[in-house]
Amino acid sequence: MAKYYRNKENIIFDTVVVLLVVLVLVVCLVPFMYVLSASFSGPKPLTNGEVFLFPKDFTLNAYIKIIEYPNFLRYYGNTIFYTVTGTALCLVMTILMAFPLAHSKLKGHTFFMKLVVITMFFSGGLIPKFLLVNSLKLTDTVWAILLPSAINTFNLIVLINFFKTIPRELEEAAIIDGMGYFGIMRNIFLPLSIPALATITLYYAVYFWNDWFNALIYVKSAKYPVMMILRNLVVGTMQLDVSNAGGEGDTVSIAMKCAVIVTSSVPIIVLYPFLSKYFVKGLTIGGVKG
Amino acid sequence: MKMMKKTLALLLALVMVFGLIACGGDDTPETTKPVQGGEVNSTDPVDTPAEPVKITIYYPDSSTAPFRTDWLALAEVAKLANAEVTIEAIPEGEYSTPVNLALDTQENCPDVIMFQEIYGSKASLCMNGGVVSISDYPEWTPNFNAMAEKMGLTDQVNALKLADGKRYIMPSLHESLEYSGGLILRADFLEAKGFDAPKTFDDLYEILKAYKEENPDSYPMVHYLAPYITHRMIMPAWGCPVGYWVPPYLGSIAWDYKTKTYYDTATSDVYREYLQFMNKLADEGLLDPEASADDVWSQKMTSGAAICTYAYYDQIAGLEAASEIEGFDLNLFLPLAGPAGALGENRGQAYRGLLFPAATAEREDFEQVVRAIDTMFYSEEAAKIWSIGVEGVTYNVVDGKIEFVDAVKNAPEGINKYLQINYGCGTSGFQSVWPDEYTLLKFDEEYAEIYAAASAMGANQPYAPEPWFDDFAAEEAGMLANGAMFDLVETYREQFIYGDVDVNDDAAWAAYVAQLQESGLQEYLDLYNEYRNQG
Repeated sequence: MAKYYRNKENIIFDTVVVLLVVLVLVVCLVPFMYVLSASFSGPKPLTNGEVFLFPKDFTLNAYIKIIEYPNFLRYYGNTIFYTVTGTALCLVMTILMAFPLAHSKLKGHTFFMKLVVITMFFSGGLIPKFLLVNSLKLTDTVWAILLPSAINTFNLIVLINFFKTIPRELEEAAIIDGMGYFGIMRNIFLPLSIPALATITLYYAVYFWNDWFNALIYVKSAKYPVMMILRNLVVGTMQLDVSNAGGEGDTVSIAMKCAVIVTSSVPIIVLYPFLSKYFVKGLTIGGVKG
Repeated sequence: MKMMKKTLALLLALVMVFGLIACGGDDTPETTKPVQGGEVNSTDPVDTPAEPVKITIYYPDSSTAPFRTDWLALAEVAKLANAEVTIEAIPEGEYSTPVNLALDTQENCPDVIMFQEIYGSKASLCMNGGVVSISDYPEWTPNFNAMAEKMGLTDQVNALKLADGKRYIMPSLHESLEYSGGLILRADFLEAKGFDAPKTFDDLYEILKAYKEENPDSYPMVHYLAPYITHRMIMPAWGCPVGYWVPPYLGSIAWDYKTKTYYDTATSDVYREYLQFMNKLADEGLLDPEASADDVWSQKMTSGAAICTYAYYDQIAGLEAASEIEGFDLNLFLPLAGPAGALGENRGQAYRGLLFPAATAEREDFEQVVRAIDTMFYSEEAAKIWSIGVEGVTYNVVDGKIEFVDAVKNAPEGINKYLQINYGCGTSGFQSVWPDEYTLLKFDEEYAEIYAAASAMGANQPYAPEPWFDDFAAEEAGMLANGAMFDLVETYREQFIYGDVDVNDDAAWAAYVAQLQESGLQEYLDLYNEYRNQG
């Protein structure tokens, strides 16, 4: 490791870097702090623009209201279910596909890789995809949310490339010792691929947590995720249109919008610190050979 | 350690399996729990089946009055029609996606889709057999027919027929063109300075100028959400509706109600005069250069950073409650007179409503479905229930007069909103008949007065009829509009108003006109006139 000299140039450089990082931190944190404090503030200071980083006229009304919002807790439960189950399913499916494709000597390897890559650039389109899901009798079942997204091409390629970095000698030694391919995958590849697995776990979890569109088109409202409420509260009221007397000017209280944003984003934000130590390593190692 | 890992893996697998079983079952979900009725409507002339007719309905769910399965209004009208109704409440912001998907594919279609307009590609879909032509079954919709006639809307209903001479929706019927939004101004300031209620745009200019002189840091007039809200409320008075978000939503052309033809409005002299007026406001610091999101807009209005806006009556109470300015008093005023008269935002009396996807007509009991819907949404009883609820629950009749019960009358959010949230009354997705006698009961005297005055002066023009495009014409119109034309109109409008391009410079104006012509304005106009619907 190169020795660090505490000279004038380095001090100036460090100071600039620290200032920049602090600036970025502030830029990232301030909006979130505002949303957080607004969600705990009373309506009057909010309307008068008196709330910034700390709540004013502290109240839990917004949170009480969203808990009372029809189906909020049910949709929240649905989101947790989709995230946990979907992520688990996606991990299994992605691993099962990545492992053989990481072996370039596999028969048809190039053909299958091309099939995989094509899906990154072309899709069937909304209506054909809907018809396919419907003809498989998946509509209005949770499988309509989970199965079509079970393998994400980008994540698959990240994992394939990570698997390729694992020395072949380990695999050869295991084969000589009589281990089968599933055993090799489970006992050698997976333990050595924790950073990549953590990375794609995070990707999948965030995807399922934020996804609302698949639910909108494939399932009925009882199976909606909480993001649907969030979207309706935040976006729905912005699309102002003329309708009937006494309905157009409706707005959802700012505190309530903020409370929904907080409750729906905190759980997934909490995931990051636990996975961050693997995150960069998983992504960069997977990307080197991309 | 190894044992622990295995146990954990097993647990996770079990959770997954049980979760899938729990969520993938056929249990009737809470949000779509059928609303069942038991009594038979006395107005129903056919042999009503003993079993309730089962109907699934797509409904645009409002975020401000989210759908609840226990809404009294829905249960009561279902009872009237002897129907078992399953509601699929879809967020209003995304409503069009599942609706279009259902109509395009005819897969997993509901029996009825609420809150629909027929134009553009949807008109083609209708004429190609994707939607039931409901005008073919007038004998099954006696309540709708009677209500349209009673409200004098038969002609407007007929104007909804497409090029094939058929009507595909049962529109909502509004007794009046409701004046619910327009100029909102601080009445306390007018009183303090001795101003009368403004009648013209010159009057408004003088008021804004007076406020600016007293409060040099202020922008007295502020846009609510986006400039188009202001434009669509003012432009009718100038006779120059221009812009994608301004009715008739044609960007550069508009409908002449007298000659029943389309005319070029985006290059008209009167539009230029409108831009010059708005430019004068912006130039003198009387018009806020920023479009404000609702929270910022509220802050500007309540703090006195602005005193004037174009918005909706509903919003006044919230602003008044939040402001700490002594005597803060906001009023909704009648439309100001411009070159085209004192006109406000365009409204519709019979324009948007429910439709039956073609798949519904394949049901053996299709007639019962149509009759039940007719009863649920268009009968006299249903109109009353959807408007004000149920006697003994939401209101009582005292000496022949309707009086809301205390909980409704004293609701902090106002009668209308309280009835919407708790009973489903007055929700624009469901309520299909809007009689004035009930609508006005839900608002205060101040609003009733302005509503009546606006109706008397004909303050709102109805929406222009949709043209009778065939597939090719609709596509051509869409291509012309979505080429450079709409962008040009939208971009130049704000540039002229805020002085980025000088609206008073003839050369700049000529360049704008030339660009619009190059983008196909004349072809666009000719196309609309060729296919115009004269009702």
